[in-house]
Amino acid sequence: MNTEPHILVVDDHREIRDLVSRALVREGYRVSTAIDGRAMRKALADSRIDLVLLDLMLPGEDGLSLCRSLRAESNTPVIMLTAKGDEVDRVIGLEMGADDYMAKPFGSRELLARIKAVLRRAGNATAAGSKSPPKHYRFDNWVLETGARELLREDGVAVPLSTGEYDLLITLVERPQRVLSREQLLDLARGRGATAFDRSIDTQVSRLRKKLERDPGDPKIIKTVWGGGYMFTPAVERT
Amino acid sequence: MMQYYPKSLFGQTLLILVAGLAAALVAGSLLYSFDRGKAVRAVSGLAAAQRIANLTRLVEETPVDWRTRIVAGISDQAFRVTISESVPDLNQDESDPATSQAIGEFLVEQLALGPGRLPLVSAKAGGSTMSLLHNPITGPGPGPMMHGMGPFGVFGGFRELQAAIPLADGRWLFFTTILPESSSGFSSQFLLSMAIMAAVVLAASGWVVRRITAPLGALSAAAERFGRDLNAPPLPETGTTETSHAARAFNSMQVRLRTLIENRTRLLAAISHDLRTPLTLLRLRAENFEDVGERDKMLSAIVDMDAMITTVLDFARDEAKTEMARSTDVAALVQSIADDMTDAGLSVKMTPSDPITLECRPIALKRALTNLIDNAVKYGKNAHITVGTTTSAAIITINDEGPGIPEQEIAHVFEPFYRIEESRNRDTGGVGLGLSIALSAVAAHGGQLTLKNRPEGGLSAVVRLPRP
Repeated sequence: MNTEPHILVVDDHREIRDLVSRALVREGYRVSTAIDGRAMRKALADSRIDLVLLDLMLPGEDGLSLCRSLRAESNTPVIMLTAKGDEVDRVIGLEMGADDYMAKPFGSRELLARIKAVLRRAGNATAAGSKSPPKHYRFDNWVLETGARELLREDGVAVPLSTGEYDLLITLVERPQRVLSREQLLDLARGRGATAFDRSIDTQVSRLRKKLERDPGDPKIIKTVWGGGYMFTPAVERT
Repeated sequence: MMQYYPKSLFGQTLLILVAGLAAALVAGSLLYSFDRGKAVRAVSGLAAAQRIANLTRLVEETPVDWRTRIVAGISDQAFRVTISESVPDLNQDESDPATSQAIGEFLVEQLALGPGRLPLVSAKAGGSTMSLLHNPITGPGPGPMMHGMGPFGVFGGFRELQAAIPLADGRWLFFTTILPESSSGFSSQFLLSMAIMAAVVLAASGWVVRRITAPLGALSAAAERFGRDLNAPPLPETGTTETSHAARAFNSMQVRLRTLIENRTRLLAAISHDLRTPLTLLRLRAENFEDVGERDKMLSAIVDMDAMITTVLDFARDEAKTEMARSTDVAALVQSIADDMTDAGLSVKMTPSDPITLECRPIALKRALTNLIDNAVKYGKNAHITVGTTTSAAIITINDEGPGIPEQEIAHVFEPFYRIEESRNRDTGGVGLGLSIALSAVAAHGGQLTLKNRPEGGLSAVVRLPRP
């Protein structure tokens, strides 16, 4: 009985399929490949797939519509391989239900990090009984949008976040009302596939407080726990 | 004065109509009332002169003894006749020479008076109702004969006519009467009818002009909407022939433009995919390379190439034209770029700012500002960013401490693919599109991007984004 995650690589380019497969196998994953949508559906029917790497540009039915129909049928996580690396396309991809995306040209290390993060999240989600990742987190007077990776103020005005701020905030809103040490936060953020913070967690927290808190000098949302770390205090509603 | 001049087509057309209508009314009324005044005066002057001539003839043909009795008989309040022994004292003070002369000549002709018997005539000009009240011949207040109704209302003024005619026996026959004069003022009825006419014409023309200008407003609103949203619904092709023609032309232009943009987007996506797939292959293969030194060089060349493709595609895609505008805190946007670059180890400083909310396209704006800050760090060692507002604009300033740009080059650096010689020599990469992309994005926001050398050294890039 194999316990290694089974990954399906869907790309019409043979060499990409081969190279990605080789990298995944080297990392211990089981790998199947598919050349297009039809082959993908067959592979999904034939065996238990833990994650789909789906190219955006495919002959016949394209990746976006495949992703949507896949999402309608199952909770199998999807990472889109997009050639565009374009924010608008990324947002559309995530709207279609992809769990993450990888812009070409990607390296194998980045790809493996993303796969690990998505699998871990999928595992947690299954345990928690939740389906696809939430698109919005509501807390206090704020909404965190995962698609556009930004905060919406009460009056609907978008407040852009830096990459570090977003990675920290998403880590916090997924674990509200729990004390998290700096080491835990760093580890969790890295585990999501986030590039490591070059600044300390404290810097990111103080930046986030400036944007979130009514009075950054007396924080109510991200509280400092003496000797422990930080706690995200408001209740979070996932939608 | 000019500030009251309306800017809209509706206002201007209405103003012209109103001014024209008013001018026509005033000119017409004046002309009519002058003409009328003259006619009334001529008619009543002529009638009075005729009466004077007839009476003079009658008196002349009457035996001398009866004359006094006859004169007394024909004299009444409004037409007084007397016989005097001496030359009567005519009040010539306010006499209107033209009228007096005309009546005098008429009398000479009618009575066939010789040169030795010229009549004396005084037609007092412009007598008013007030002066009439003090006129001894009429007594207090105007008599029933002295006013009447005409199309222009009550005669407002009267003129006094005095005529003295020498009789054959050397005595003088002296007449005093009044000539009605039409008023140049307007009655309230006249003004009311004019007002009703003006109101009806104005309302009708207002409605017509509105009908003409409303489709223009709809057209410009549709163009505006299309500028923001490619999938904006087409204009309804209704209304007058001209309006529906314009709407149809606009709709077909919209369809052509949309097809063009969709084709371009598809083409760019295909190019992007076709270029990046082999680049991905190269990268994955390079990772398996044994020689670490060679491998890193290959990987860095791949990164550079990818950056170039991204830049060229960004420029060609011109995202600022297709991204949806949304309400964004621009200060937080700039801060997030600065933080990202600081986190990446670049020397970027930003003076903190209060939120500045602006309707904008955040992705395009982020790309533009990233390019500018990137340039500051690359060529100017570091970037210092300040964000502020005036009443009409948000202003983002990026200062560096580099060598600046030679003045003669400043106009050229915004041209696509233009690179200053120094930046070519230095190994700074890029294809010369960063500023073109930034300029195009800022311009799509209706803003301005200016570069200037700071007197204390270094370059200053200023982005002005208009605020409503």
